[in-house]
Amino acid sequence: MWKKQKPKNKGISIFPIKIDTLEKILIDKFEGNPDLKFSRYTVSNRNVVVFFIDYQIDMASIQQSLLQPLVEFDKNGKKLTNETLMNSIPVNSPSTSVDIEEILNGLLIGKVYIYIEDEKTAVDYIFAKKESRSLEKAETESIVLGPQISFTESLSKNMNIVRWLIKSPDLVLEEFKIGKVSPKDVRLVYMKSLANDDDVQTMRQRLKELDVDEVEDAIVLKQYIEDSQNNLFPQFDITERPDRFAYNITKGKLGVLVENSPSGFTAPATLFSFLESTEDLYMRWQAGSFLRILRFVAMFISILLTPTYVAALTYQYAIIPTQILISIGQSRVSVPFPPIFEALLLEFLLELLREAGARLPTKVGQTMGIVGGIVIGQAAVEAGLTSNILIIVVAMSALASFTTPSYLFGTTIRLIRFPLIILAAFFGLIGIVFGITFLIIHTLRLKSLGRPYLVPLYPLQIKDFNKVFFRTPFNHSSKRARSYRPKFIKRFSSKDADQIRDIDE
Amino acid sequence: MNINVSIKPGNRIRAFYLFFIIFDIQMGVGVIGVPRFIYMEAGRDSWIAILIAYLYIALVIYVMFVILKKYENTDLFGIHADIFGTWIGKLISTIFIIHFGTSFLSILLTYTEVVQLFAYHELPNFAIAFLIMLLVLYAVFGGIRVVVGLSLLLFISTFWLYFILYDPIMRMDWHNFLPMFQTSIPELLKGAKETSYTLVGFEILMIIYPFIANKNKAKLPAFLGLTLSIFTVLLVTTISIGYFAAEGLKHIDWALLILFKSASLTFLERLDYIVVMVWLMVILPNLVFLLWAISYGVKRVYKVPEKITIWVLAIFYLTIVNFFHYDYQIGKLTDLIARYSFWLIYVYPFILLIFVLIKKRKRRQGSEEA
Amino acid sequence: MKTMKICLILVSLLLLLSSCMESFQLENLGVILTRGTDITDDGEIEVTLSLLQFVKDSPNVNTTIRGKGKTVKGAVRNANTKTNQEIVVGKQELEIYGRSAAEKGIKPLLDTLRRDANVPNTLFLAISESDASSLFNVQDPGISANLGEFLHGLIRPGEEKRIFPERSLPKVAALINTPGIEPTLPILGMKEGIPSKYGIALFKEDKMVGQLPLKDEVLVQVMEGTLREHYYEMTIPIEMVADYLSDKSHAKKNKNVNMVYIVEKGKGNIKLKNKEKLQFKTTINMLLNLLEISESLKLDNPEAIHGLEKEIENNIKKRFEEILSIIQELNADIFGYGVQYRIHKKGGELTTEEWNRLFPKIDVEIDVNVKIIRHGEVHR
Repeated sequence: MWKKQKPKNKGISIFPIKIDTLEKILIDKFEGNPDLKFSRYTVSNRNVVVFFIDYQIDMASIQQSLLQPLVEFDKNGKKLTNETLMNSIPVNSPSTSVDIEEILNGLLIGKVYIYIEDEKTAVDYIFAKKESRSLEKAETESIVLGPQISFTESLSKNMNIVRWLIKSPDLVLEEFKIGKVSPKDVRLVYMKSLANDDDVQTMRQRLKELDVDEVEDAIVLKQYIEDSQNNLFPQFDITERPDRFAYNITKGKLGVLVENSPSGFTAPATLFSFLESTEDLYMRWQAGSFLRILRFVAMFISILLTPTYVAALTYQYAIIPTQILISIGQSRVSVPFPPIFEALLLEFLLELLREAGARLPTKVGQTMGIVGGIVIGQAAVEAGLTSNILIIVVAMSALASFTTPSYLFGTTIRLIRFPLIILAAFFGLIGIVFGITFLIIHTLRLKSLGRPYLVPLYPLQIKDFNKVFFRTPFNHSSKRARSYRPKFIKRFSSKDADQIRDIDE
Repeated sequence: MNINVSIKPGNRIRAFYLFFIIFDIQMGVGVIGVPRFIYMEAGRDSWIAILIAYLYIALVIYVMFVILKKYENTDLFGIHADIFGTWIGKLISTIFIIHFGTSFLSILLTYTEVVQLFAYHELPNFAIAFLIMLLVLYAVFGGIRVVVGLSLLLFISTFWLYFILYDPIMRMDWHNFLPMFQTSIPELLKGAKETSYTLVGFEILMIIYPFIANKNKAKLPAFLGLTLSIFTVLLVTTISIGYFAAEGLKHIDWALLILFKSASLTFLERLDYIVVMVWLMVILPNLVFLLWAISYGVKRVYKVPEKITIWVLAIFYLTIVNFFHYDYQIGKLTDLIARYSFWLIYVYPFILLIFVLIKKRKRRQGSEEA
Repeated sequence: MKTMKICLILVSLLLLLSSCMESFQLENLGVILTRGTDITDDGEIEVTLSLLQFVKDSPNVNTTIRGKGKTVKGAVRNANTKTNQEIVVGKQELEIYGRSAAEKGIKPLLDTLRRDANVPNTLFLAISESDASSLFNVQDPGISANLGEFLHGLIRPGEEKRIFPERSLPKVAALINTPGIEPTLPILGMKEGIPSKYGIALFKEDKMVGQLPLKDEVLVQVMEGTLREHYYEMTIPIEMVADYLSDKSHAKKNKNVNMVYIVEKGKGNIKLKNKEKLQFKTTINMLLNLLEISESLKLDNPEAIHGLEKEIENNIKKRFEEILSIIQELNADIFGYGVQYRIHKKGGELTTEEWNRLFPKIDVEIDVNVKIIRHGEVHR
């Protein structure tokens, strides 16, 4: 996959050529494709052919700005050559091509070719027409405050949004083509003056050296170029929110946009960046900090609650206070299964509900959630399949796992639970401690774009804590996070920000 | 063997991690049982004995820094090779490696015993050791950065254990400390010596030193780490003396864990169970550092690749733990380590210092004459 | 693929290893909440267990079973043969010793509690006024349904309120071991078929040697350290406060004044005044809040308050002297005069024998300071 791509040998010119031969070659190459339009004209006594694929082309404008000047070329009495043709057609950025492969690829992306018989090159213009969805509200990462727009499948629209969000000449959108069979336009987005050069170089190299037939989507590309593919943890942060994307870029990270993908990803990411939401910024700093800490707590609850229940009920009954022990015991006694089976059953049920809810249309999905949550849960307790305490435990940990702003990371958390539940069932509390320690070592070993995954916790950057674990008022965050090693740390003068300006003298 | 080592920039660590390294390696299974040993010697004035130990260890660490400063960028093994020549140097280095190895074994066994005592008495030694070894191997294979990071993260994730001590503190009887200053000085010194098994481990400084990026800032974090671990030992011993009466403490093996036994929260009781399990996180940096030091040392001294050492040792330990069944066997091992580590760690650095000073002076004279 | 294989091997090994562990599934357990231990006439140990036991479709989770054996654990095993569930000690909250067992010495019985790491340290100890097993014969359905918790609640009424009867295992074990101070334990007894607090057991080392009535718990508690928020009922002769009565005629009608106070803060303190002559000084300071009084006094007059305070001081002093003479006779130094003696002795060491010899000879000067700082909404 990482093999170096061979440099393309520039094709040998097929021109000059007779129009009939050209048509034959083209039809040969596009076998079974009836959509190649091949129209011949005779202008100033020379045979001219115009060819294109009609549905890739904006027909109205080609009629008006290309065919019409071409047909009316006779009137000014000049001799028809490539140069004079280009002069008389009022469309920008004409180019010429000689290679048949290049022409074929050009046709696919909506170019219109004009070839004047016996000329050495063919002239082409871009009249690409691309169907895409209009901009919509972000669905998977919805927030309450702040911009609601989300990326769409059109790369140009996405780039347009990003450009408008970061109106700076520093913003670089480097172009890459990825995929041998069906190449896709990929853009590496970063701030020239901020992004760490090493990171840019690493990312560039990974993109360049990627040798695959095609990438389906940004998420797929992300998996191809991540540091470790076998890992459960996502190492780049994927988002469908342009504001989140832009926020990361302006903090010195790199972003990647892929053609036809309604999401972009940013790198390097840390474990904690998945728990950040741009909404924290839109809230007052107290609420922002609260929400962020809430999400951390939620992550721990989600990972630990069910395993602790299983461990306590299988081995360490003594850690439960007596009063709760009585109510758990009373509801457990009618359950015929061991706690592990009971917990796995309910977790599985919940995952089924979630998966079914995601597949079904929105309206049906909502009903399903209610039916599943209330009716099945209630019935399970009454049938003696689970204890009612466990329903609360599982519901709470599921709820907690949904608070993660990143859907991808939320899935990771949900998955981690299962090995922990099994460990808890086999070894009790020490199994949980073992599992947690294992996860700590695991995340310590992880890297994202060659950078440590747990920064700013390790390597310790206490000054960055206010950007990651909580939020301080803006006049206290005058610096960018050191963790991502941007070229410039300072955002604005903190002295100036602290000044109070509106007291009357 | 090269006396000085060059470390890749990616493997260097900042000096302030020494705080966590020194603290983590000193805190382990020793602190669970140490109050009894100190109290047996120094009685009510145990706290003075601990402070004496503090001053002495601070001096030892200072001496270590003096020795290390004499070289450009080296570790204990390099110094040995330089001072004593290849063969004797190798021999002394090997003694240190064996010391790390036995410490590793005793920690593994003691923790196994504690787990069996408190929670799973039917779980065989092998099973517990196997679980622990999995974590240790996974961490050590991550390299020095993971090893150091683990000590930092586990420090953070176990720091809350201090807060549970509020409960025994409220139940202390301060009369147990009165009258003060009654213990004779030899007894105090003996008490200070009893800390050797617990507080030993800071010799890792001489192994990890070449990995430190900003060496001029290394002293303060090392001393602060020592201070925190001394504070912990002091706290634990003081609470134990106040909480268990004199006669009681003499018969209590795992004082610290019993202190945690009386604490409970409204939503969680029997915190001692949780503490015993979480103690895995406290001993893990110990084991990881020791295994790392062994593998690094073997590579330095005998040029055996780290991977081989680690695998061989893992199998060795997993085999040997099955032969320890009695409490007293583990106790004997601990005693043995306490006894020789006093000479090896508390006394030897001074001898080494003298040799290093003589050697350097000779060398300087030699270079001046030339 | 290699990692997958290793993972598979590891997981299967883990499963194998864990199979040798005995699990404690809650519904298979009989959780001891309270245990009564008696020594029968033939020297066997008899335990009475109040268990938390979960039975399907039964709201009652409490059962009581008995067992006999040579050791405490053996007796519990014996009891275990009568139930289909595994009896475990991890949540035991109270251990009650029968009076005769306590008089023989509780040290051998304490051993199992100290040795077994599964026994919690929050376990309280108490003495039964007669046999421990009698406390478990409760007919009242409301109480017997939740007997274990009820008994524990007697000892520890409120969460985190460290008031007298609470005697936790490590504390008692420590007191038994310390020369110069002896433990006290609460006594439970049956009153009208319901278990209730009864008195204070006095110990000489690990043997119960005598008892004090329950009303002395205030003084015992004050001498232990600081006492807060505790009711204190007392009776004084009316002629002592006759001057301050709102209606002087009452002085002839009634003999006594009955009062209840809340001890807002009480503190006791022992000082060694003279080591050779064994002279001690005991100071008791109390801040009181008057809750109820049977006679109307002119409490708006500061002198009335001072007079009342003085009378209370005398009352307390008298009672304290009585208690002292009892414990000196029993040679059970429950207040810890010996600890003060040890602290001021050279070398700081004191043996039990030495203090046994000295304690009956000590001379105590008592100084009581009482302040009535509040007297409620009215001052008459």
